[in-house]
Amino acid sequence: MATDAYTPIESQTLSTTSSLLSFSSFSGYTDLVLEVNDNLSGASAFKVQFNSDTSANYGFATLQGYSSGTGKSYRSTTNIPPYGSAFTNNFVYGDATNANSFTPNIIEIFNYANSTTYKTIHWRWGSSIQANGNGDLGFQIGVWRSISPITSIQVSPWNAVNFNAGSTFNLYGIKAAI
Amino acid sequence: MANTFYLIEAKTLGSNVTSVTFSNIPQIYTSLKILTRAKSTTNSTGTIILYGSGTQGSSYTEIRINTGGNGAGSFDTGNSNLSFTNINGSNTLGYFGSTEIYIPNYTTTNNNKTFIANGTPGSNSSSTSLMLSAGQKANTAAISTVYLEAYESVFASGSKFWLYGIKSS
Repeated sequence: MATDAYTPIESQTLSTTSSLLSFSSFSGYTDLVLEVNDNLSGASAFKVQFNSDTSANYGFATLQGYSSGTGKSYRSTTNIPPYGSAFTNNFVYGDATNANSFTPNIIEIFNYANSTTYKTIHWRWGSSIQANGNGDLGFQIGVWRSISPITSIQVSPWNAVNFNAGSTFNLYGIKAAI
Repeated sequence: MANTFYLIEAKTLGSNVTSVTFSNIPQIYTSLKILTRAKSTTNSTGTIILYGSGTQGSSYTEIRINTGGNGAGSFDTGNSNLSFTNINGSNTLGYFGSTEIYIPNYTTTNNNKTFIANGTPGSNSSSTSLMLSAGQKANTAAISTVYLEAYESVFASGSKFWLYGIKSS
């Protein structure tokens, strides 16, 4: 008999504003999937860090499209040397500040428990989509330069703002073998 | 053990059709995921239209990146529907495009409905591209029906569509 390999670990729906969410109770899986549907109290993206590491150990490459009142842009960027400037202290993206508009994000974290390789992620998002066509979407691949198993995940706004009430955070675990 | 990832419905087309509809979607999941392996009978852009309460309306906004093949990428916006991938019908070699569409919090009545998607048309052409898209329906009604059509074309026989429900608890 087939056994479920996709398991809900933790689900949070904010009833009030919050500036930090942390997940730390996950073990026994191969990969993690964090689904975030966020709305922020002010202009900002949000960031993801592992094991409370705030050092410059996060590298990423991003394919991004952005539309605003000043025009549209399409670009690919990276902060990974030597192709980019420098590693940073978090992964970042996925903002939404418009009323009734929440940003869907899917963040996949691969082989998070191993102790021999750097950890990698995929992050997809579509932000602040408005009736006038403004918005932001993209796909990011990232690497956290640590061989330590990931034992906690911190999610917080980039600027000094909050996640608004109604934002949802769902963490799932995926097993590659049963 | 919790059962989280449900196959709600699967469809395999036995003939060419203008649209595919998933209706009466149970309102018991957290998110929906749609996977497609589809192509159209002529060159087309596959289009997803989200029905909330039985009416299509005109409140759609969509933004998309199309890598365009050979580096000729583009970024566009639209207001008439929600495009999720190209499905190139010009080939006859059996290539089908693959698409993943994620629709979070589809049952809530507190905020607008959004989706993100990624797909590729699946072909042996140098113009084969990757498309990322995100969209919003400016309507807070819960989604009970998902309607997919091949823009200005029809889905070809053999196309497949899967609707999954995901529970977060």
